[in-house]
Amino acid sequence: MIKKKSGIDVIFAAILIVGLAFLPSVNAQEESNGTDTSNAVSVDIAEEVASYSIKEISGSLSNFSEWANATVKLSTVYYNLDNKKSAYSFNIVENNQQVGYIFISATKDNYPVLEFSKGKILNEIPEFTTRSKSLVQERANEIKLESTDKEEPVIGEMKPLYLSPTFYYAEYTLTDKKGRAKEKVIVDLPFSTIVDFNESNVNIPDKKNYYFNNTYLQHQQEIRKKDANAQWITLEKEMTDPSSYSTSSSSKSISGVPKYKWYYGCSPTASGMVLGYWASHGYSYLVTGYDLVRELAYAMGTDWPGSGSTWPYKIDDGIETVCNNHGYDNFDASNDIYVSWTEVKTEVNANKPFVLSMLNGGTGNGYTQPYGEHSVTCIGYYDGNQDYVYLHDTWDTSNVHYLAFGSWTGAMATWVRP
Amino acid sequence: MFSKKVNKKIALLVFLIIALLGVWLIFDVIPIGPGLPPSEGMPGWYIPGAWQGNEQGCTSLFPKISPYCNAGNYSQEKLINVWYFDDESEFLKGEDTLYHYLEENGNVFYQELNISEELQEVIERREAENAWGPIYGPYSFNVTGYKSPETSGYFLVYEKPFLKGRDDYFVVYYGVSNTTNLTKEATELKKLIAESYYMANGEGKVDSLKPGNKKEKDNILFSWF
Repeated sequence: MIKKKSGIDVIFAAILIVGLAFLPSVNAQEESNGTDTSNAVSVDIAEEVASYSIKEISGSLSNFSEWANATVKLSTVYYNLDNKKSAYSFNIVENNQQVGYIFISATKDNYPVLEFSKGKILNEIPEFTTRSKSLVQERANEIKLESTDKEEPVIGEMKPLYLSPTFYYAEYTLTDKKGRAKEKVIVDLPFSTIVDFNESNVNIPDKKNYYFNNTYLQHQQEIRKKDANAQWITLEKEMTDPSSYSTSSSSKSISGVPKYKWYYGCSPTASGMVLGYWASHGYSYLVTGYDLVRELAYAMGTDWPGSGSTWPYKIDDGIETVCNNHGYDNFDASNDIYVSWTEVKTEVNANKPFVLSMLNGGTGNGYTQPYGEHSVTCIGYYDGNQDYVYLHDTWDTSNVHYLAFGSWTGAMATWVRP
Repeated sequence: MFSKKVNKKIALLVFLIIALLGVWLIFDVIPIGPGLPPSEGMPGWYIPGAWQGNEQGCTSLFPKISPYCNAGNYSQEKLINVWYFDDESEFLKGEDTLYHYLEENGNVFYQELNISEELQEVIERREAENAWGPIYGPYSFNVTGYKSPETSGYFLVYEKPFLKGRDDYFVVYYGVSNTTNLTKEATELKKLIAESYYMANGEGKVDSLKPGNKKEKDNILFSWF
């Protein structure tokens, strides 16, 4: 299981690297500290952004109201695989106690606030760092046994890597006694495995669809950069002129969307919540709960009781089939793999919940683990310095969870319109 | 110097082409789901309030039989401790270790527990909140009871609650600290079990905690039918 996830991580990381290669940053001058000067964010600016953002978060997200009087303290500087600064993490401190953390991008080519949560940053949890050191030590022992001179490599200091939300790695350089680099070992911190970015071990299923292809991902990357640049401009404006803040933020949540617990698979469950909403909003012939989720799972060909996964292109068809089965042929369900923030707001403002299917989805508030490949029901949004979608995520039937818009490698919305 | 630069550019171009081809192949064929939390997040599945912050590290009352272990604390010293396993052999080993620890440190017994009333209350309350959870397991099942001066309570084992093809195993302890009077606490603990059970999925098996040899015997008997 861990190996499989790790393999997918490697692929996503490769995509990130490829995606970054398409960004027009080739001519950027580089400082000796490894940061692109063109769009670099200094640690002082990042600290200002972190302080400003936690105030905004505490005022807009009820779960984080206790952050209102908190302060921030720099924890770690992260790098990408090209040895350039990628992010800064700050501990959020209240009454001398660490109550959470926030990650700020070290480049304006990415969103200002990358992620935040209660709890501790992974590389500050001794359990994870100790495990990573043990793995590197094991690798050093292997190298010693494999070498002719039986010399044990010297393990260098840990260099924290941050490739995107939830992709935390620790890089160690193994050197010989003369200080010459022998090998770089990268450990996936959450999964405690050594990863090799030059190698892929993902099995490719024998199935064709053209939803999340490379053109799509390049496009997503370009949109992300454009959006990120725009968010930095807005944020800097608001930080210098706080009066502009109150007029620029807005939020909306659709009431009456049921919360379904995961069953059969995330895609039928998330779709079930959307149709469950319509069942109580004028379409009473639609069934709800178990019967609805089961019917959706069959209609969209969810692999159950196998893997519980669903092909993205079958989600909209499955929803329409179920609506037709119950006499509603006026429902239009359509997949949109280029989902934009404007579309999200328009749909929510029209009181139409929709299914959001993510590739490498980030971490929702209240969790320490990422969503990964997951379908959720989007029931609202918060439009501020950082944009958030409000979700019924199939994991928790008591709370709405928030996720920063764009904290995924790819996403598809399934609009459901009667 | 110039040729070095050119070589680097060619290498980068080759890398990009290979990576793009790989990406094209992979992203044409990625399905969504199952959409379950990774192993680290699984213990929270059975801890009411886990995602509102009521999730602490594993209790020290028992051996740490799984790296994926968390606890939830509730009023009147009640607690839930969850050990999660994503591998059957690790689960069997952990279950056996825990069972022998219990035998050495307290009084172990089997009991049938019926939570119909408590579960019905939870279902009705959650329906009023517009929530739904798949509860298709039995409302009455065998549990392993445990009494010791430090804590007393019930152990339940949930096997493969999501998908038949996935290895998901949970050992869950519902208990009260600093008491041996389980009869007095039974009503409150049944309510706690019902809250947690509501969060379970309808598939798989719910059973008591058993030592390895007892499990083997049960399996042999089962194979006759």
